[in-house]
This record gives sequence, C-alpha cells and structure tokens, in this order.
Amino acid sequence: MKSLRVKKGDTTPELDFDVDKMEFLLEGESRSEDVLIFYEPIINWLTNFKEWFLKNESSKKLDFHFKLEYYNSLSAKFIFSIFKILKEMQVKGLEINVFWFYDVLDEDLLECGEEYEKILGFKFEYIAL
Amino acid sequence: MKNINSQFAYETHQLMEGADVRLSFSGEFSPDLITVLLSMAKSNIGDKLVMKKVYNVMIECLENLTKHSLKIEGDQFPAIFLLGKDDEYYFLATGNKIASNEVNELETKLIKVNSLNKKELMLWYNEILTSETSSSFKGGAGLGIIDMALKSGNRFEYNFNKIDNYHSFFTLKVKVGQK
Repeated sequence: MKSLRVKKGDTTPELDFDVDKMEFLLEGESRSEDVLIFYEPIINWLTNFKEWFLKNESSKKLDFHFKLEYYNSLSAKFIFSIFKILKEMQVKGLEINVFWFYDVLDEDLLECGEEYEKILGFKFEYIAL
Repeated sequence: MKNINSQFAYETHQLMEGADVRLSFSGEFSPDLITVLLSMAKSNIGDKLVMKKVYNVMIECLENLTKHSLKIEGDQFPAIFLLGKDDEYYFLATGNKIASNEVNELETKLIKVNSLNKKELMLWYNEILTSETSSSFKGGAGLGIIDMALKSGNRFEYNFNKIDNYHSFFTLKVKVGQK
C-alpha cells in the first residue's frame, strides 16, 4: 500500500497519509468549493487502506493528526466520512489515536471536534496550541 | 442618459464611512478575489477570537454569493459584500439577486434558523452531517447557514427587495459578537 500525499493548495489543506510510519496528517484550511474533487479520491484511498489493513495487520497502531485550522461546511461531511472510516477500523481492532489540534482561543473548533467525537463514539486527544 | 457626477465617489465614501464599513466589494466574486478579501479581513480585525469567528462566517457568506447569486447575462453587479462594525458587533452584510420563486424556501429556512437556540441548531447540524444524502453536495445540504448561525451567535437580519415579478434582491446581515 502506497502512502498518500497531497500538497497544500490555495483553498485545500496539506495531506500526508504515511503508511510506513502509520502517521496521518491533515493540515491547513479546507475551504474549496470543489470539495468533491478534493475529497473523493481521499475517501476512496482510505476505503482501500481499510481493506488492506484488514488483510495485512503488520501494524496495529495509527496516529491521525487533525490540524485543520478552518474547514467550510462543504468539507464537514467529508471530514465526517474520514472519521467514520477510521472508526470502522478501530472497531476491527486497529488502535487509532486522533489528535485534534486547535488554537487555544478557538473554542468553536474544539466544539466541532467534540461533536464528531460524540456522534461517532470516538475518543479524541485535544491539543491546544 | 445616465450621468453620474464626480460627487458620486464622495457620497459613496461618506456613506461607507458613516456605517463604519471596513471592507467592501460590489460586482462578481471570483475565487481569487475571495482569497484576497479573506486575507484583508484577517489583517483588519485585531482581536484574534473575533477574527476567527468573522473569518468562518465570511467564508460561508462569500460561498453563498458565488453559489446562489442569480447570474443574469451582462449583469456586472450580481452581488455585494460588506464587512463593518456596529457599536458592539462586527457585521457581515451581503446582497444578491435571486429568482422570486426561490424567496419562499429561503425565507422559511431563515425563519427556522432564527427560531432555534444553540443546542437545537447543533442537533439539526448533526442530523444533516450524518444523513446518508452525501451525494447532494451542491448546496452543502444546508449546513452552511446553520454553521453561520452557530458561529455568529446572533439572529440573522434579512430582507427581500422585489426588483420585478421574477427577481428579488436578498440582503443578509450577520453579526459577530465582540465578547
């Protein structure tokens, strides 16, 4: 399974899903109006990754660093889809740590994380910057 | 014959200054322009907490303008955006043309959003977020307007001005608190 890397764009975040280290990163801003074009390949990749993981349990631990400073409402559903897939992997036995980074002043972003947590029954670690 | 005299710029400037408008644009909104407006807003607002909220609401506002403004051939001014300051609030004001037959649906939605408290808004937001209609991303399934209300923490002010039988001009003012 090859890692997935996407460079930061004007309205899209940087993405680094490193399969060798089992460290995933999503960082920056996600405010593209063409969210489908950006997120669809990512969701597809993650779905494949999930299948690959289930067959190949070489590593049981994955760290997901969520460092989006801002995401628009169009991105929210895709972010939800990402966490949903991660949750499915957790249910299958993978140890998944989600680190949710937020600016200490940005309580809205903290609340967003807590909502995803609540909906999915997923425990996040919060890191205030 | 239309003939605008040179006082027009002065009068417009006075009007903007009087309303404490910090940033404004009238015309067609492109992605590049939105990036510029956002970075200008960022540097204009000193308070980081308020800036983050304004930034959030502003992105949704500008997205609505590009997505929902009625494009009439040859129309150079489909929409307007203003960022200003009242006594206690920053405000974002937008205006755009819409088809008259869309007024009812939009107004119903605005009335609903205005009638809900934070907890109810979050429940509604989560309901849409988790619904399986993930393919209908065209309008973001309505998450944007709820998100704006949550970030704003204030009731929307809005109006529909009839242009003719087929067109209306929709104005929206969203306040972002200082706290």
